[in-house]
Amino acid sequence: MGKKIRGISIALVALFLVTFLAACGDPTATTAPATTTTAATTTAAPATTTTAAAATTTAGIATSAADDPALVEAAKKEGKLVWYTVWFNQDIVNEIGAAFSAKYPGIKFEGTRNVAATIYQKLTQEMQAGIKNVDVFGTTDISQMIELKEQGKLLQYNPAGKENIIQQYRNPDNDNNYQTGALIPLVIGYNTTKIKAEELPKSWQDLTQDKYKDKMSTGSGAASGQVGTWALSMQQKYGWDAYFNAFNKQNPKLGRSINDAVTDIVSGERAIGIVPLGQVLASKAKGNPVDAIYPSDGTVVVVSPVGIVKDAPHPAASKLFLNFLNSKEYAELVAKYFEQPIRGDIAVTGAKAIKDLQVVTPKPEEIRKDLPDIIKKWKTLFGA
Amino acid sequence: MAEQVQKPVGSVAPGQRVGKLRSGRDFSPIFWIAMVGVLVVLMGLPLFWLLVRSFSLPKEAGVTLENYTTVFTTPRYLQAIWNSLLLASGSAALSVLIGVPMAWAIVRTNMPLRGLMRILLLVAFTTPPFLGGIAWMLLASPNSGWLNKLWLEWFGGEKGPFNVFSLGGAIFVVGIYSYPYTFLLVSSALEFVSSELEDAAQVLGAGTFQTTVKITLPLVWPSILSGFILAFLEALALFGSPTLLLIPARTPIITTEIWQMFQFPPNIELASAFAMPLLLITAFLLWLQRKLLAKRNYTTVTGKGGQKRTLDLGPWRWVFLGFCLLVSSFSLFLPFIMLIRTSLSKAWGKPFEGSNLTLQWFEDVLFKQPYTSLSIQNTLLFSAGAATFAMFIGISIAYIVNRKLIRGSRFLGFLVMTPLVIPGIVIAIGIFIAYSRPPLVLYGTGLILIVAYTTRFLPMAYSNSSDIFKSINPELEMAARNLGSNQLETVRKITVPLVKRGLVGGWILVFILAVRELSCAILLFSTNTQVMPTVLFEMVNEGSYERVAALGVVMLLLIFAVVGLAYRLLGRDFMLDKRS
Repeated sequence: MGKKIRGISIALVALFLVTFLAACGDPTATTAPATTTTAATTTAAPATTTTAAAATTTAGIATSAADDPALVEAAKKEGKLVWYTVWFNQDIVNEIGAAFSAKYPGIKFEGTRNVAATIYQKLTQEMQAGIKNVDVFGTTDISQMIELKEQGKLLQYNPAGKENIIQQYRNPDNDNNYQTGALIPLVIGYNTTKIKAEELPKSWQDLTQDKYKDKMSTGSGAASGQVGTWALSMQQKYGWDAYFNAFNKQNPKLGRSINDAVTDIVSGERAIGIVPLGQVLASKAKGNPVDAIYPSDGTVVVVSPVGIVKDAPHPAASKLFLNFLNSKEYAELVAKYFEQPIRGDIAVTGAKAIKDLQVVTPKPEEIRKDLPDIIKKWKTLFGA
Repeated sequence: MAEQVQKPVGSVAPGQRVGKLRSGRDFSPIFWIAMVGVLVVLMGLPLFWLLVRSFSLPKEAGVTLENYTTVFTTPRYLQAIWNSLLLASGSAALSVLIGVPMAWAIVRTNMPLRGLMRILLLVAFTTPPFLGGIAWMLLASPNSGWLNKLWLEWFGGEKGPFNVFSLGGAIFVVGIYSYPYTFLLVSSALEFVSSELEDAAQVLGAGTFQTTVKITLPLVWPSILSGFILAFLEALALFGSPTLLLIPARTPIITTEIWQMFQFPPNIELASAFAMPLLLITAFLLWLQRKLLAKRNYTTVTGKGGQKRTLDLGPWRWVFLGFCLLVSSFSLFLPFIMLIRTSLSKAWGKPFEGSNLTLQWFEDVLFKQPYTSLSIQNTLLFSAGAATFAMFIGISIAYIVNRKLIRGSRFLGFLVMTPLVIPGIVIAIGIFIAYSRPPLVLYGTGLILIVAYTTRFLPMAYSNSSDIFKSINPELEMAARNLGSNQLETVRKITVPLVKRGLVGGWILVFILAVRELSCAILLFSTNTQVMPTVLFEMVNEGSYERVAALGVVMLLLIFAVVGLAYRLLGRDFMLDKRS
């Protein structure tokens, strides 16, 4: 009996210790096996690392000419990159990670995607608590970036390959605190079986008409940077009260993430959605009955910035990642998922090129000034 | 056991580390005091900070009432309080309408399949309500919901009748998962109502139903009311399914508003102030419930005096069985089918047929998606950690209180139960403030979640341990003490072995409660400490329902495996309501 109890108490103490160590220790330590975003997911982490290391010796030449070899070496020593982002969806983020790790073997990649309000809140909370977890932050709400810059929480870096970026998006910040990492055109998406061709809206303005009552879906302007930017564009074009009181009357379904609206039009829960172009086209390519309309009063393009966090635990890998975002591989990869590349030399199948679009983009300083107010107004009018 | 106890006091046998220093001094009192200290910090710190912050402004010094003025003058927040009350009363009423007839049919009548119904009730009780909410989104979305599609197929028309994105929808979904509270309270009261009074009524010419309505139900009236209160409080504090259903419905409620105050730009101070109405309503209603239950000691309902007979319902028994099965269809069969179906579909909106079948989502959530597989590990680790801590502290405090080891131990018994009065999301605010500032920066580590779960479920661990101690005669311990064991040694060698079964039951109870906990975790997780409920919540907002369903199925399997194990080990009563 005594032995048994001793056994139990030892087991108990052991459990305590394990819990403690796992919980208090380096928060990243516990995540190692799970978060490697590679295709070879079933293999344990150590195994992947060995193969990756082996690959380095043979495929080391894969690094592009633009990268400083010393930077690549330093990044490999760091061995990891953590990215919080609001762009696209988790699947594409995983693919970006896989491509980055393939190009620079030995650097593990962790990418999390969430809506702008949620991920920014996590970021600032972690900064306040002194947790150094994230390296690179990418968002759809440029006012967050400007705020981080004002607080001196970004690391200045001028990435290689910038000359390839479409000119007007090349220099979002003269001090190189952040760069343009993604361009997200917002369009009207619709389910081809749920609405007749002659009834389709042609412009954002049309969406305030009574015939679209109970038929629309989008995210929350308070939570999603993309919906927030769209709402700001509508305010600039038509005035807040004029547009949104009428829009509200049509009782749109408002989730949180704009991605949910894509699900809504694919499933037929709603006929029309205010959605990112890329995701509609990707869904259409999979055979879903959806298509996109470029609104006659302008396609809202969300210029999405990316920057390195000042206390980034892996600064060299972060710089390398910013270089990677300017590369052709990255542009080709996002184009494969029907997302708009930031380089002019890659086109998306079935999508209008940026230069052919009637682009509407609020200026960064306008977003900085007005978006917090939009968030408030949105919460007051729509609740969340 | 005997040989070890016989060893002379002072000699250190191997394995005697606990409770004894080399000198042989009994340092048990230090241990007890340490435990009391842990308890006071655990309960006091979050509440203290909650209160302080509710009277301050972000980034400014000084005391202010501004947060309270904002809460009680902003129409939107008042609306949220009102909506929360509506939601809670509606679903509590539903839980009474379901729970009372079901309890009566299962306890007092000859309805068939009563044993099965009890098992289904346990299943409904352990199913996380927000998973039910997610399943009902798939079942009753106004256009794409499966039930609406079926309706259109059968009856035609423009639009199906069900809309889960409404206050009514939320009341329904919350109600069908909270009836077990009413059931448990009412059924245990019904067990004690003797048949004599009912017989008297029947002799005087009353029919079965008249007897039930006029005699039986009035006798258990206090427990019905207190069941209503428990279900009311559960709904009031609920975060997950109301949020998922009511944000698209544009209906603000308290918990959703608090959570939004934690989004960017955060206003923790306002959230703290807004937590107070929730806290006060809960405290008042629990106090009321105690008063009501105290009155249950009518002489007619006491004990085993009278005889209890099973009522023959005749053909009505099939009606009641139908009713019970209908409830189970709503809370279990339909949602589970929907989740499994969705998790096995390539695209959930398409017909469920061969070409649409896949196991890819399970592979995806278990191995491919970085944060789902991590969340499974985290959930298991944090829940096990919390269950262990909670039982450890719970059993120590229960021992101190029951054996009256220190002065004022009754106060300890009261203190340890305080989290019951505090809704999960309110505990989370307090814990967030208390442990995201020096000297104790736990935010971002798993420890903050373990601390939160431990705090939240300590009352269950405590009352579980306390029940066991009450059933053990202290004489056994005294014998060991006489033979020279110190107090800790006695507990370890005599008491613990005697209560082992109860301890395992308590551990499993806390573990399950922690696995399904969302309202605390949603404010406390960070990127590397996500747990299954928070990941599910975020993925629903993304609209990736196939993944949600797959992870949900994994979670249900996990919970039911643990419940099944406990059921085999400990019998069906291990999860009997600890809150009553």
